[in-house]
Amino acid sequence: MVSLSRCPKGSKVRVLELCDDPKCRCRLCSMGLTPGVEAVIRQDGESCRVCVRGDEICLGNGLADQIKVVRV
Amino acid sequence: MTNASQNVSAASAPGKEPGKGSGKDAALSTYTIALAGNPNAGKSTLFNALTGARTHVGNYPGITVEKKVGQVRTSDAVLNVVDLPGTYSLTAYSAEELVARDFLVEERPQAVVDVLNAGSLERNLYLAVQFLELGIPVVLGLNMMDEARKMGMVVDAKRLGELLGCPAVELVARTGTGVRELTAAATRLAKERQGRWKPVEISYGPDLDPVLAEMSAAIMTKSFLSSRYPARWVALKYLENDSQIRELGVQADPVLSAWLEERAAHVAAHLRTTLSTYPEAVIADYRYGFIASVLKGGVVTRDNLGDRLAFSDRLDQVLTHKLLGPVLMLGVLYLVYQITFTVGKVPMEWTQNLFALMAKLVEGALPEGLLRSLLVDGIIAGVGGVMGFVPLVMLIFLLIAFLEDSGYMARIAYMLDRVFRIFGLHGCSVMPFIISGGIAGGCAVPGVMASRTLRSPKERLATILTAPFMTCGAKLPVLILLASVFFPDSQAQVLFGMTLLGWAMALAVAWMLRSSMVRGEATPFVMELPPYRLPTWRGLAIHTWERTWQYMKKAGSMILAVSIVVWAAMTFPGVDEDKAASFEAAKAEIAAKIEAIEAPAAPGTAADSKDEAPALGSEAPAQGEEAATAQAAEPEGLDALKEKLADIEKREAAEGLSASLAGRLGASLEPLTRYAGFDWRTNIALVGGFAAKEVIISTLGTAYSLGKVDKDDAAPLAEMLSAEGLTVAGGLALMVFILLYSPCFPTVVAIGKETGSWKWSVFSMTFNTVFAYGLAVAVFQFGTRLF
Ligand SMILES: Nc1nc2c(ncn2[C@@H]2O[C@H](COP(=O)(O)OP(=O)(O)O)[C@@H](O)[C@H]2O)c(=O)[nH]1
Ligand SMILES: [Mg+2]
Repeated sequence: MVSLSRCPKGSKVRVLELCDDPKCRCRLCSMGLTPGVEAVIRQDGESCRVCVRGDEICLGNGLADQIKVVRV
Repeated sequence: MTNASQNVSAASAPGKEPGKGSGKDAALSTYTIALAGNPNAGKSTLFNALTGARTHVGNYPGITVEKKVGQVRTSDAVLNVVDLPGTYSLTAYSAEELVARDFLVEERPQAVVDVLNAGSLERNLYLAVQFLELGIPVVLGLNMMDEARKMGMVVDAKRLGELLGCPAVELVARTGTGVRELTAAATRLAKERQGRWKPVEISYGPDLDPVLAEMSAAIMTKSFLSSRYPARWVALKYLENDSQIRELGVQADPVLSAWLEERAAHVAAHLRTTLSTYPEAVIADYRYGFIASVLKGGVVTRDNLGDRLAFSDRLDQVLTHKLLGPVLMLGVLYLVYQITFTVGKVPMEWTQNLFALMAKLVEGALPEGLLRSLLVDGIIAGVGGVMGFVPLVMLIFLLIAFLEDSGYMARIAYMLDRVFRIFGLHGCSVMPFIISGGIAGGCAVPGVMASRTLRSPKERLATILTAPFMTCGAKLPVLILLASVFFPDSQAQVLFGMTLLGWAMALAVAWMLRSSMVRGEATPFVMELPPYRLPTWRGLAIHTWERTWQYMKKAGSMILAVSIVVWAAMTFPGVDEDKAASFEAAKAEIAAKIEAIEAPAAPGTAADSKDEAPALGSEAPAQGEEAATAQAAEPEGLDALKEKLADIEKREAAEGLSASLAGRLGASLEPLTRYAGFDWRTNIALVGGFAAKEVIISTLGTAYSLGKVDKDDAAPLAEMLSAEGLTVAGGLALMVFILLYSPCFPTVVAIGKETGSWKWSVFSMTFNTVFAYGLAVAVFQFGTRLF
């Protein structure tokens, strides 16, 4: 289990845990990032771009650190 | 295009029409239809295709999120189409989501048109599912079918509609395809359902279903919040931790509300320990599960699994590259300035010449006096000064619309989030900044309002207080003018520099505020990046026109009124009687001497010149030449006399201005503003600029033109300013001051409303002015010593 911000560009991951703030969790879910979903990292780092459920979302500093994933 | 929706009933499938309605329609029925959908699903494009130019822009009651309403007439109904803010969900995450939700439950529109991106149905249906759970009549508008087809996707809209129990229509909003069918379907649904809501129940699995049933039963027996929301929906919101519903619940029935909260907390703890997950996630998971099962039922088939984002991704590898991205971004913004100034210069000169011509015509047609002064010095100088910039402002709006519609603006927000963090702001602060004039030409009022997308009150406050530092469309003309006087060869560069200074100061002040008065945690940034798209001419034209029209309307109303007030303040009470008399006496004396010399040459003018002493100045030069040739014997004496007369008149006008209300105010500020290099006339303009920044330029024009006599020699304001001894350092200090000082009155009101406290209005007025003054003094003092 690693932070999303630690995953290299191009890798495919499965989301395990979202962030701590419940409102923000709701937001991530409504944008398609739910626990169990698979995502592809388009741009790595603290501000990263991920492709999830066919669309691209970007996650800012801090958020990508909190989201825990496994590589698949 | 505007009539795309007419004769809709003819286009709709006649067989499906329910018994009544298709026959005689004595009176057209009126329905309210809400347009909803995810951001970037094409809502604005569809709204324009539906309603054409017939739109009305207002605000939602009590809040300042923009509300667009347009009317569509079909042969059997009138539809009032309301554009809701783009949302992903109906939770209480941001003010926009609350606006959408409150509109639906309070106004109860007869139908909701949910605009979906057909290429990304899984995510877009998430909102549709929530409409269905709420029970409101929904029409699905499957937009961007052209893109979906290109990807090799086949979407069976009919099957999707059947599975979800609501009509579904295929659309290409960009070309207007399917718009008729959509209005027909919405009208039909509104007729059929007659405002009845039918909530759909979705299973949330063994962990939540029993609790939901228990909670809804309790809600039902107490009719808790039932006038607005279905019972199961309320229960779901308690599980989702929805703050607004909980507040409403506490007011309605504190006991039941407490019990519901306790149940929700119990479930959350249970999920946490047994499955290490959260209720929101379970709910979302089941919704996506439901969507997946619907989509699998033959709705979507793909020929080839083409990645619709492949092209965008390749572009983004460069455009949002960690190092290259920000450099290219600066380049793009710089280009915006270059294009604006090279292309915009020519039409701007035309409009300015047009107003100069108008001033001349009025001057020729009217006799000297108050009325002429009001028209020429007040209205034409004031409104014309602002309207002259319309071509330039239009060009900037066009370029901004291009950046928005192409998808690049979202990338700017993404890239700047990293920078904004450092200063205690948020990626979502970018939009308020840009709308306020981050790319010169915006307006701080909508900019301040756009801060509603920010969730953290602290970040929001810091954004609201710093957004007015940007180069708005009203400061722009003044800055351009000053740049053209003092830096004629590098206008675009100076303007670009001013914009960067605005950004730098906004960030610096934000950092100061965030580390002192508005300390608090940072909130996370998450945003969708839409694929790059080529904007359409129609879309660009509509966006550009909407904003330009706002600018022109303001010039015709607010600026007109302020121009008149400022003119009056600069004209009255005028010089006192003793002084006026002594001026008159001095003038009469010289006039008599001139008369004596000229008498043989021009006998007719003698009588007139006594009554109309001030008019003589402008008539003098033409006659002077005649006289000079006729009486070569005394040319020096005559010229000297004329000069003396002109000089007296100039002094009279200047004394009149300085004795006026505005002049006294300007002069009383001079001891302070002297250190920044501003004279009393500039002070008048700066005070007037508080009403609206556009007024600065018109007031400068009035102040400098009232103070001079020979109006035939109507030198542009630019030349007058440099002729009046404003130095480069003074000009630069003035530009800095105008960029940063107190926000205009409408913005101050918006700040008060948005922060909910007039304390912050007062703060932004005083703090910004003091801050700007300090910088301007520094610039002037350094500048004078350097140059
Ligand atoms: N290919 C295609 N593009 C569209 C269609 N409708 C809208 N767009 C584009 O999608 C982008 C976002 O549209 P907009 O109406 O601003 O979306 P909104 O955020 O929902 O208001 C714009 O660049 C539009 O030109 C469509 O039917 N087909
Ligand atoms: Mg839009």
